[in-house]
Amino acid sequence: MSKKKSSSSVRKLSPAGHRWNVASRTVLAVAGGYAIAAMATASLSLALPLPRAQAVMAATLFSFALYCALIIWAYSAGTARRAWFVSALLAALPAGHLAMRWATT
Amino acid sequence: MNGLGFRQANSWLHTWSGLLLGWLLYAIFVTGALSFFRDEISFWMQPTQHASVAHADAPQRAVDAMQAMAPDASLWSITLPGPRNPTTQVRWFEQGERRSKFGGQSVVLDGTTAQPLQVRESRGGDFLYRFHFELYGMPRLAARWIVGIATMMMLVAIISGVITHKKIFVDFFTFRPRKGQRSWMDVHNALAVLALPFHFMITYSGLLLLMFMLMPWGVDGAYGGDRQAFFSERGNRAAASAPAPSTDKVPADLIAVTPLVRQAQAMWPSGVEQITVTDPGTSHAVIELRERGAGSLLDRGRSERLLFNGASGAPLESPDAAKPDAFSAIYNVFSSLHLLRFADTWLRWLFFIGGVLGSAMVASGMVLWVVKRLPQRRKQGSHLGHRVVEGLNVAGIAGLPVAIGAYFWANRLLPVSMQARADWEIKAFFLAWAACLVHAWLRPHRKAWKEQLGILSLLLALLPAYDLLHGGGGLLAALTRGSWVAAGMDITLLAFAALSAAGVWFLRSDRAKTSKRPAAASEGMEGVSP
Amino acid sequence: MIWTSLALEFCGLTLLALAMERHHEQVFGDRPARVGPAVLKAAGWLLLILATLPPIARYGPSIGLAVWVGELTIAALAVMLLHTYSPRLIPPLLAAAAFSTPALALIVG
Repeated sequence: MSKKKSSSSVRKLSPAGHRWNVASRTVLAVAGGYAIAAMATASLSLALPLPRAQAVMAATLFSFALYCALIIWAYSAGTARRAWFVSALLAALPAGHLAMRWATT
Repeated sequence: MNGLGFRQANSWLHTWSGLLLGWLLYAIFVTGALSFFRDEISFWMQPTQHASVAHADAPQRAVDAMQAMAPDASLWSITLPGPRNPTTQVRWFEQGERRSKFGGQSVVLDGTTAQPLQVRESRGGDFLYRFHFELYGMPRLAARWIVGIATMMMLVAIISGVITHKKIFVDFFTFRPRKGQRSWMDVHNALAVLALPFHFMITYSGLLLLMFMLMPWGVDGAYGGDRQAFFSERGNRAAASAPAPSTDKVPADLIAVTPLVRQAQAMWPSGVEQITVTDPGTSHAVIELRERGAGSLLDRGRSERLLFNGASGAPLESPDAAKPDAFSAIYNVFSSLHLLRFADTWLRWLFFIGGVLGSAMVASGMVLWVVKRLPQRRKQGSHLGHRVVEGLNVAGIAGLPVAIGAYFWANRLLPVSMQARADWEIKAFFLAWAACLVHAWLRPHRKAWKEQLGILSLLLALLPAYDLLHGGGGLLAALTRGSWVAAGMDITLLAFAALSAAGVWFLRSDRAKTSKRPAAASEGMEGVSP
Repeated sequence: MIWTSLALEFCGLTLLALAMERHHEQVFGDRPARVGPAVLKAAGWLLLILATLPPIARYGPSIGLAVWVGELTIAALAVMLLHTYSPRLIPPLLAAAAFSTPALALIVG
């Protein structure tokens, strides 16, 4: 019933390896997910083409759905490495935007 | 984690996100469901008020009573008797007194005679309501963060649960009793799927109600931390009518309120909920009538108002609430559905049932966790962790209602003049819960379930019996009076007593007996009596 | 209003259940379905949509839909329990609900 990934990069983990895997994904999910959602909220609040208060509302309303999706991604990705990699890519967008704004003010 | 399919990974996530704070989530669901009936519970916990019946003339009689009690007040607030409480609750603020939510002086009046009624010191339904999102005995902010984190985990549990439930449509109406673990799975699935819109809505809206605390980064980012600016920009609410300047206030008699109320009742299907009089006895007096219920969720279930000059009766213009933008509208819909301030009896019961199903869903999930591991435990022996979870299951799932029952009993039994009475009612709640925890760990698992469910059944069933015997006539008198608030509570107590008794009955034999009662434990125990 | 919408929801959900082989068998045994599943599903969904009308008429669209969703849970629970414990009761109950709905709607409005 489990869909085994046919990718050769996936190998069976030792018990210790498994625990590190879970720990790594958990840190990513809980802390990384929140960080990305937080940055995205701030970034969207500034970037959305809406009156300021509405942009903040829209971004904040959406943030929990984003956080939830990130948590699910952290555990669903084929490998922990892929989970981190994709999350880093996703983080780059709002982080970059916020960094640019901070640098130019 | 590596090598698991999407569904399997989410199955793992669902188990852990549900289990880690499951007992807290159950408590949040239970107190939340009860909070839909917070006003009714508070009324039930004031038994000396139960004889009150609403009278058509209640508005005028209340105003006359206010005239006698507080003629020089700056504001009278009169909450008329209604389907949630048959008494008239009045509050007033003296001249110069700041109008805060809990300030001023308040009195409860009989719905017919407008005579003051006795109020016993009790937190009533508000204890359960506050517990729901602020727990108890800890700093408010910390508690809200804990509840917020639990709510996020609930959201993850819901989404991962839907992802992992492969046969969600095919199994929609499926329940297979007497099949051990399979039956518990069916129960858990049914409770989750059949009320899935409710569970999702209540969870996401719970997050939204805490969103400025949990996710303030939008406000901080766009407003440089100036939250006041955000709230006033977003509010676009017409300014609340400021009190008229007290310079040239000419004394003037207040007009009769009855014709105004009648005019409002012709317009509003559920009648008038509240009358507020500002500066009574002056020419500047303003009478505001507020509608019971509301027309739409988009403006946060805001009810309509009618304003009149108190001396002349001339209608005044009610401040028009500005139409909310799309995103505020979304927030309004979610938050009004969660708080349910506007709802009538039918919708209130529907949501209460949703909350009960949600509580049972969480409980059945935790029982399922134990039941699933029984075969493995029989082979490999139990760990301390298993015993801990078993004990927490009984105390968490059956013990919490027992504690609530103890809270209600304390309300009835503690002397009215007792010092710190309200605190002692709450102490009874926590003492009972602690006792259940100790009991759950000392007793064999199945016996612990049977005994706590049995105690629960007795506690709940005897409450209406106590009321019957102790003046006021309890349930029977309420039914003859047509007083449905107190009667409804008594009937609900009896219903849950019956439910608990059914749980005990389903657990009656020690052989493998399957049960569809989520609150009952461990089917498929197959001779194992831990 | 409450009865009308509940009855419509009950009928609609019953038809949707009967469109599934597993539940059709519980009620009718081996007898082949006289009406195809596609028709049952369409009729079921139609009734569910019709069931939104009484609450919307009474409460307005936003609150009315909330009431509708809440009622669906109750109706679905009833259908599930009937299929599990007394599937034979379903055809007579379906008929009773179906006939009572227009009658009540006319009387009560």
